[in-house]
Amino acid sequence: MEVKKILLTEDEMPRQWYNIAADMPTPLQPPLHPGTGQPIGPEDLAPIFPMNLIEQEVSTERWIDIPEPVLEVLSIWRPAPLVRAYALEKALDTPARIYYKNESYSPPGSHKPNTAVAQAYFNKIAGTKRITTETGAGQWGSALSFAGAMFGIEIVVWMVKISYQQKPYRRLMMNTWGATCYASPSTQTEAGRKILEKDPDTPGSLGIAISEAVEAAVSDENTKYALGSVLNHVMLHQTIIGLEAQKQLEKVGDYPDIVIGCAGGGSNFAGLSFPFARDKIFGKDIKIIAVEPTSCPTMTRGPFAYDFGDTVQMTPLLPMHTLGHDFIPAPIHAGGLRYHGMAPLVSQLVLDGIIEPRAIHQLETFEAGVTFARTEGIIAAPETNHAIAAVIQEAKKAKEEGKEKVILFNMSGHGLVDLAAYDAYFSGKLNDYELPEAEIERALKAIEPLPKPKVAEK
Amino acid sequence: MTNEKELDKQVLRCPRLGGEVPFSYCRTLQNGMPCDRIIICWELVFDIGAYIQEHYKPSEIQKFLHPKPKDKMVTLLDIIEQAKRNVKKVKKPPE
Repeated sequence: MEVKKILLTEDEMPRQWYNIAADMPTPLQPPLHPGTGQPIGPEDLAPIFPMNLIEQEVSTERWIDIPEPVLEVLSIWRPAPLVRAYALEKALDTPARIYYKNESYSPPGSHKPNTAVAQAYFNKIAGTKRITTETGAGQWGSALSFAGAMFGIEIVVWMVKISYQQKPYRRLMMNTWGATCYASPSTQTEAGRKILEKDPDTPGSLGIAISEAVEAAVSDENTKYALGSVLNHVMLHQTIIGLEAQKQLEKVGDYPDIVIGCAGGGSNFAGLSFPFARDKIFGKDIKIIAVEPTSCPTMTRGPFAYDFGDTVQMTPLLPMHTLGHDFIPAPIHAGGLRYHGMAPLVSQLVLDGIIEPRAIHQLETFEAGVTFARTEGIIAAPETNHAIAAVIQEAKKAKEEGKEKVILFNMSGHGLVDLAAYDAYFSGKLNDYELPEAEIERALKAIEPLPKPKVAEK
Repeated sequence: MTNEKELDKQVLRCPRLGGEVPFSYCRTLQNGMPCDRIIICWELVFDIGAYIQEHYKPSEIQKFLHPKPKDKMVTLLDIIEQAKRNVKKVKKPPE
């Protein structure tokens, strides 16, 4: 029998996280304080984050030690296996060798506890008694609840009301790990009360939930706030995924030609890809693809092809196609051309050409997820299906070109608590409307005269 | 193509929330106005462009489709400042 799972022992777990800020071809500019116009300093963030995490947030040290107590908790499911997807390869009849890092083994079922555990630990040693957070459908909230239970810290989660009502399982997971979960908007905070006063039936939003969680942290000096994506220290904690994958591939004498991850908040993508991005920065020839959802073909066909709205919070994550402050695109058929104003680690790497963005619309992603489930046996989270769809695209391309490409992707989580999404797909609720070719052409024509971003052309 | 009530019940997976939401959620997300991703998400399901033009003024469309994006950290600082004001208000002794 061929070796399917490439395993590491606990002794072989990476002892340090990799901080890509040390190797960025273009160093990040610090964000400016909206009030003072000065770079944001540690004291600005101190009301919500402990100082040890703020230090990581701004650090440019290349390697940062993983504390032993964090490793002990991570060892509940880590090192995560690297799996060779033989059955998927066979189904696609591709010469490509496909590997996936299986992050679904963690107790909450995704990569998110990699940072939740670290954040809970650093809060614990900083004296924090309670951590607040917001969650959409509950993935991050459940990961932090698990981590809180491991270190004996109280966790309070504001879950967007529409999800709180529709998705009881993640909420029950949070409760099982001892966390308190409120439907947001709630009467627990001034921010929530204000919204409820205006509209008692509001379904809530991530924006409201984050306001409630931050308010609770600001109100009490023993309470801090945790975020599961976007920020530099979150990306840092996730790099254990890619560092393990590098060791595992070395064991079988392989190295990826293509690294793929789905990019919502960016953290699972960063976790797998940053150690490989480092290799690319220092000369390795690798394609690194960040996959994001879209339902609009003009996004993938147009000259300004990608909209990387921050899928976790209110602000865009990947500002890659800047059209300039003074540019206001036409309201219709230009949804993907919005000006994006910020440049965190992942987006800067896109701008520097290290990472290639790709947009795939949802029917193709579910089709890919079903193929994966029926070959490799694992029902992936709908977000993970975006990565799988890109893997399938690349594997088919390898077949067309007759090339033995090595493809590595992050199986960032299972979809067992997201089966409603599969139900919506199977029952045809997610049917796509095929935009007429003429309409696409018209839309593309409309954006032709727009100024092209300096960095968008490959 | 369909009446308003039916449209409101149509479901799509929200990439921000990580769950399925009805159209009614997407068209009211920003204080009663549509989410800025509404076109990106719904364009393949029905003619969302025509829907928006029919239901909103051009100035409203500009506002909800193009909210000025901010850096995550800057957004957080804004929220911290707002939270501090909220907390002060709550702690203010009754007059």
